[in-house]
Amino acid sequence: MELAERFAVEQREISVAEFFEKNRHLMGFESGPRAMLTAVKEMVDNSLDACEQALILPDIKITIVRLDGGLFRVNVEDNGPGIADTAVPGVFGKLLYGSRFHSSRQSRGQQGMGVSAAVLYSQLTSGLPASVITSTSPEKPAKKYEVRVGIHHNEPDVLAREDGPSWKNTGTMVEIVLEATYVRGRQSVPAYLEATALVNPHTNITFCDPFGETTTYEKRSRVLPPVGQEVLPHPNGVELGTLLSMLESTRSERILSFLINEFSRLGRHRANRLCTEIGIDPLAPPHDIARDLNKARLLHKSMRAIRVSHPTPRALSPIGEDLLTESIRRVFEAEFIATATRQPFSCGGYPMVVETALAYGGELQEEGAMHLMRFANRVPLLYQSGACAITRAAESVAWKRYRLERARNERLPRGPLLLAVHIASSNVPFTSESKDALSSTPEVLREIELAIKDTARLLRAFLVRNEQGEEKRRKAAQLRAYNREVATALTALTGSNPDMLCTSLDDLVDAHLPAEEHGDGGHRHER
Amino acid sequence: MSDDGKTGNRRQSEQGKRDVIKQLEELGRGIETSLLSGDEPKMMVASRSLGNVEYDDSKGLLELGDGERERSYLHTGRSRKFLQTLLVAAQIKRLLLLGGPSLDIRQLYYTLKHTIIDTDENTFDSQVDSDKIIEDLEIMLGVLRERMGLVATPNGVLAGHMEVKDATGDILDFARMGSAGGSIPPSVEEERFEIRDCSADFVLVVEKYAVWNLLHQQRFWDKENCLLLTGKGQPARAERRLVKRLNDELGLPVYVFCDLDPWGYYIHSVYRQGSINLAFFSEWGGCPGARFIGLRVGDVKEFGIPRSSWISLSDGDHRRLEELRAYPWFKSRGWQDELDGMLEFGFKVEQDALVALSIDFTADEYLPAKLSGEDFL
Repeated sequence: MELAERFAVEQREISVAEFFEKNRHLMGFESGPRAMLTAVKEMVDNSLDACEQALILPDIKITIVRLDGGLFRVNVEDNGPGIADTAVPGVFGKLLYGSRFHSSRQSRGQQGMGVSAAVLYSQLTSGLPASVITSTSPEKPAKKYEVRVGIHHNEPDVLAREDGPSWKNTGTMVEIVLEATYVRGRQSVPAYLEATALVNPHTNITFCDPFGETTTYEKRSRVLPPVGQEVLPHPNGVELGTLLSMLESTRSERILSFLINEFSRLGRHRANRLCTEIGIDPLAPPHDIARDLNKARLLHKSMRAIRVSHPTPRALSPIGEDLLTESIRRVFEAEFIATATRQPFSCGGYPMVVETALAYGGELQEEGAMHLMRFANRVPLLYQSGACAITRAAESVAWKRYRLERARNERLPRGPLLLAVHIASSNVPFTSESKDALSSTPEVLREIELAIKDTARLLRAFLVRNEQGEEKRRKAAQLRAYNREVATALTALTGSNPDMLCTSLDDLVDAHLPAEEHGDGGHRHER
Repeated sequence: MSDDGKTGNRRQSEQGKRDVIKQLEELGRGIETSLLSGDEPKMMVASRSLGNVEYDDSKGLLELGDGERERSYLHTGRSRKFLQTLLVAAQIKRLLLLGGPSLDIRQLYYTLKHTIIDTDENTFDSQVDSDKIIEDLEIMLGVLRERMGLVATPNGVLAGHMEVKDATGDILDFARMGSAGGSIPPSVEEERFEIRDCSADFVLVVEKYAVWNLLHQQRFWDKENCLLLTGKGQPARAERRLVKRLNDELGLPVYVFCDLDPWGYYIHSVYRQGSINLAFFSEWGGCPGARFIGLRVGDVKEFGIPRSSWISLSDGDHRRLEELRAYPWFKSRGWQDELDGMLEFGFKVEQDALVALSIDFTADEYLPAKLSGEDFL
């Protein structure tokens, strides 16, 4: 008894910020390179979302400068609508603050802790606050802030607030100093930015790296992606807990109207039948059901099971095959690109769409395994590839059937190949809080695999045509080489002019075997 | 010392050369004409597969049938052969014009072998390729390669009372060629191998060198007054040609003495009817008048060849026996019986094995008995 009370005294509430300070890996800052990446990602995601919501074509500049003592200065500048004075403290100084956490439309923001996490991390490692300059209107000067996250109470700590420079347009610039490591290669900032540019062809991205090199990804589309609309939850996908809380808090007076108004795809007739089938009075108040756990369970079960149409894809914003193709062509200069978009399907009740692009040849690297790029809601997934449904689906394809070969120890085929898979959903099922990998539910795996196969089939047709064309080209080249020898031999036998004979032979070969072939994706070098 | 023969021969060979050159030029012109009129250049080449080999019973020789194959330049898989044929033809013409020494076919291969510019390919990958092309040309032009200035490594040796004027002008006396006997040169055409005198009564062709050597040391050719010849196993063209010339021109009977096994039977038939591979050569190198003296199945019992010398027939031997039984030139009653006999006997015996009876047995007992018995196949 005494012991327990003594323990009770020691227990106290921990603030969210304190918790995360002690659990950096949950925020994505567990290693030097990861810290760098997460910081950039949060800041860039913020900018992209802000621009898109304001219907502005994003123009984002990222600068990373190496400082002493293992510190880096990361600066992200955008042409968004700016952040209102009242919102600045919360956005940068308070964890888990934001509008996007609640929405049920596709949003890249669902996948992050928010930029305040980066601010917290930077202040912990460098001691310096985040520096923010933002302008919401070109008529007024921009505002300059220095913000920190208040650790103990998770309240923003605004150290400075003053007028800033006069900018021509609205926009935001955020700068933090943090301890991190800058790397290049697979899971790095440059890779992330390249992938981001790929799936956001409407953006301009400029990147200045710590070595002073600048890379620019220019936008290829002047069309903003469609903003995913808000949709009501789909009956198949609702969790019991969610249903209960909805029943509690709904304003509907009857369960029937509750069902019709707060869920998609349920009309009067269907909702009526749902109730009568399980013995619930359609006119009963929802609160009653909420309190009767058995009834709620029954309702939940039949909602999960009811066969209604697929969730509406209006919530989704896929990239679009043309843009994807163009993006890949510009960034990777592939010779052949095939894309496929599956019909939207229901994943746990939420609409989901799979888009894939398979690229081959051109400037893609010959050696090594296929380069797999994973995306969820226009955000590149760089970590935990092994646990991801996309990787699993890609590895399970029988690539041999599509004329591609796997090396012995590898799971993906070899060659100059790029496979980009994008999942767009209003609720992406991740395997863990770190949101690096897609959960491998059977329907997700199946859809991804089918989408990959759609593109693989097109690639196979291309490879076959290419081989045949290649065969003809090879044969023609061989004959042309023979021609010289034949001309020399004939000259020895007949005394005729060898050049004349050679020309005749070349003409003969050209007549029978055309020199070049016109096919899809252009053709490669010759001679 | 009359020079007429020499000059006459030289004149002949000069004329022969010119004829060959003309034929090669014609081959080239034919192709050029097609090419210039925009047609696909092609050649008709005789098919050398077994299906196109026929046995002419009346002549007792193997021949090539009329089967032909088109070798066209643009056809995938044939263009290389087409090119190779032209390369060989052009080179032969060049060599003939140069008037230098005959080249061994291996050397011709080397003169022609090089990498084709702009490719990773060689004109020829192995000597077999160019050998076959040479044979194609021999058939196309109806001329032996020896007349095209090409020779192959000869194999044969000969001992006996025969005097020959060689291509170099030297006089060769095959009775005084020492312990190794006289080498048969690569070309035994009249202009290079003029038989001036021969007092032998017959020709004994021995399959294996070891047996020939023993007989030679025992001066069998002298005692029996024959020409003792061996091709050291499967005979090359020169020795076959010589055997034919000796039979045709000098009227000498030819007896062939081989191992008692399917291979031995076949080697005898190469001297006689010709070989399947070089069916076209039978006309020059086949000696239908040759007779098979042994070893035969019946000899085992008759001469008491000991059991220890018998070797069981292998699976390969059985297969070969079946093949021989099916060949038209083994269809005579005598041969069918002989082949059946071996099948029944189930063993083979090497001709060397006769020494088991005694060293001198072959020379003193076996051969004389067979020759006088006149029981030949």
